[in-house]
Amino acid sequence: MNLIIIATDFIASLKTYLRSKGTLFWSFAFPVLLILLFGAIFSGGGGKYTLYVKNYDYENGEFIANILKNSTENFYPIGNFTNIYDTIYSQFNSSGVVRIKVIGKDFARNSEELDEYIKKHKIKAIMIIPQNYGFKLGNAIAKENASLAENITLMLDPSDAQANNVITSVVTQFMSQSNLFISGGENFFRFNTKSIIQERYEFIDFFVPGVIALTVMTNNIFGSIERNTKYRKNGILRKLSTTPITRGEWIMAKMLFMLFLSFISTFIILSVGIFVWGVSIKINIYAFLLIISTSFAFSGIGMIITRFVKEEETASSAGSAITFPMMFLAGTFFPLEMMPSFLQTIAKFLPLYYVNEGLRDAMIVGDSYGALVNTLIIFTFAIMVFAIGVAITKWKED
Amino acid sequence: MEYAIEVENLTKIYGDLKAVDNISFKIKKGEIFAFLGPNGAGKTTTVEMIEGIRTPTSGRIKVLGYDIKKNMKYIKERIGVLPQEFTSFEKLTVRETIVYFSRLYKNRANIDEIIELIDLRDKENVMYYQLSGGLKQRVGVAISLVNNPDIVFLDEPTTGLDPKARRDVWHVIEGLKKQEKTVFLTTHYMEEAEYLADHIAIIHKGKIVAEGSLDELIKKYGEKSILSIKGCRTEEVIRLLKKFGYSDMEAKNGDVEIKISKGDAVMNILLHLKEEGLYYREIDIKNSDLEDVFLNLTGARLKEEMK
Repeated sequence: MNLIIIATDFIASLKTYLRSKGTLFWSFAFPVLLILLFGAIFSGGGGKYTLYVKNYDYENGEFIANILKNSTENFYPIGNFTNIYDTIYSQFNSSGVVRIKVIGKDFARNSEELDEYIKKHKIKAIMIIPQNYGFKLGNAIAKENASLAENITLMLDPSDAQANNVITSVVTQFMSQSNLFISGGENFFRFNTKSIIQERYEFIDFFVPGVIALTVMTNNIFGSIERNTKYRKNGILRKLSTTPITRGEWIMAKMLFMLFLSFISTFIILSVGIFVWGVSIKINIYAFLLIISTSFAFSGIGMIITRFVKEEETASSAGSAITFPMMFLAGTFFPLEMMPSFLQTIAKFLPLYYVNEGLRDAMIVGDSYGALVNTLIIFTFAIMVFAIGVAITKWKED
Repeated sequence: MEYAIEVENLTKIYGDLKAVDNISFKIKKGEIFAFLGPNGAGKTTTVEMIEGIRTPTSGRIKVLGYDIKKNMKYIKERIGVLPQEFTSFEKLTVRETIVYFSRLYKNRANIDEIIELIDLRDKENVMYYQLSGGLKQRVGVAISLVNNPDIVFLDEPTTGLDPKARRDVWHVIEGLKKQEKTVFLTTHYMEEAEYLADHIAIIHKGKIVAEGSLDELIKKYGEKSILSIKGCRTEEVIRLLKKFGYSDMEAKNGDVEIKISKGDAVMNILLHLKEEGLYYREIDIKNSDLEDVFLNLTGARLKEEMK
């Protein structure tokens, strides 16, 4: 392997690529556009986030409100409400970005029932106020000792980063204002956070790994089709075979470039997902291995296609005939559970299905076992098809 | 080592077709060798076997004294190739294209000198796909020079070009001879072989039917030249020339056509006419060319289709 030759070809590929507006569009602008569009279509709600409240101390709220109203120092304004907690709810609602939904006293009566309730109602954010919270808070204020007050618990689903940011900031703001009123800043009001692990994710969480899989697939399959048909027709492969560059060096240079492209696409798609739609991403080794394996697998498929179809246009059509149905059948855009069972069975035979599942396991769900299994499947598949592709791609003429 | 290329009993068979049929030839160093023949005669198959793109069915090829079976890696460093119908990377500039191919070699020629030699200075920053056909071919020749090769293979370098662009490419090829490079040219244009080649091999249906310099080929296989004396008294002219031993003559409405074999015959004939005071309106000499040679050898025409 001659590094100068590999670097030379890599640079030429990069220059050629950056100067081709069409390919640039399909590998970068198109996936980004897809995410922006679908994200906008499926991001429900009018911009308000629902914050559930389970208040085990509501019954005492009225009593506390009375004490506060009758006290000579009017240090905490409770407004027109007769229950201190209603005052607090109304303050949250008036923030404009959070909607309070109170869980009634007959539901979720203890912590086990509460867990059940969260799961059943697919709750993503909940504030839990413990029993006797009000009295302990009052006691702490009277003794001027903040450590005697209890914590409010905030449980959040980490997959929805944007909602979490909004809710956390609203709660923090409320508490620091209240603390200022009471004591000039000491932490009488405070909260701790816990995660809710929900199995269901937002559509966009599902969608982003799908778009990554799709983009890596199409870039590699059409890239390799173009190289093997156009370059053959143009005599570039014949020309190269009369120069010192070896077939191995050339394939190496092209694959390095394709991997580079795959990672850049992934990075851009992830960035849009994270910064525009607040998708929370876990990056791990499996995500890397999957993208590398996927690049090799689909480059290999492209090589195999061009072994049988020599015309560039026909080969591209063959590529589309493979990628287009696969895109829909492998659960790229919508969950397979939505499809009839025979289609779900078909999906199990499509390589893209394992890429989709693997990327979701690795990046979104954080299921290392699932990611490992899918990575191994794609890795094995990639070694097979790429080896076949390399073996049957000839530079020499007959 | 006198020969740049030695080919012995080279054969290439595809199924039932003998594309190249047991041919042998040698090319001297520093000469322009033209492989002339119609489309499908086996030119490209032969040249691509020498370049290592195709594998011969049988036969032996030596390039610069080295057997290509064992020494292709070394030979690649010392040859430059312009394949048939070559189109380079569309979105690289002329200079970038030359630099790209240059970096593939250990031995690299000076890129500015190549650009100067091929006269591409004012096009060096133009994208390849924006060039005209003639310029593309010139870039193709330029990239076959990036390793300062001893032998340059040009496979139909002017096919599809207009006459002006063809002449430009010819000048570039003449320039290569001045650089003492051996040039292996394949073409189906007889004018190209006539204009450029020191040595011509005519190939037809996979076989070399004749070989030699232009003069040798015409002398051996061509027609005699025809001198036409137009607008004269034909009977008097014929009578006079018969007296001086010319026999192969014909009278045609006021013109006399004489077949002559030697160049100085023209001078002598004109001299005799002057001495006798015989008037003529004009004279015309039609020399035999490779087209005649090819027709005589194969019974077929070289230009099977005129575009």
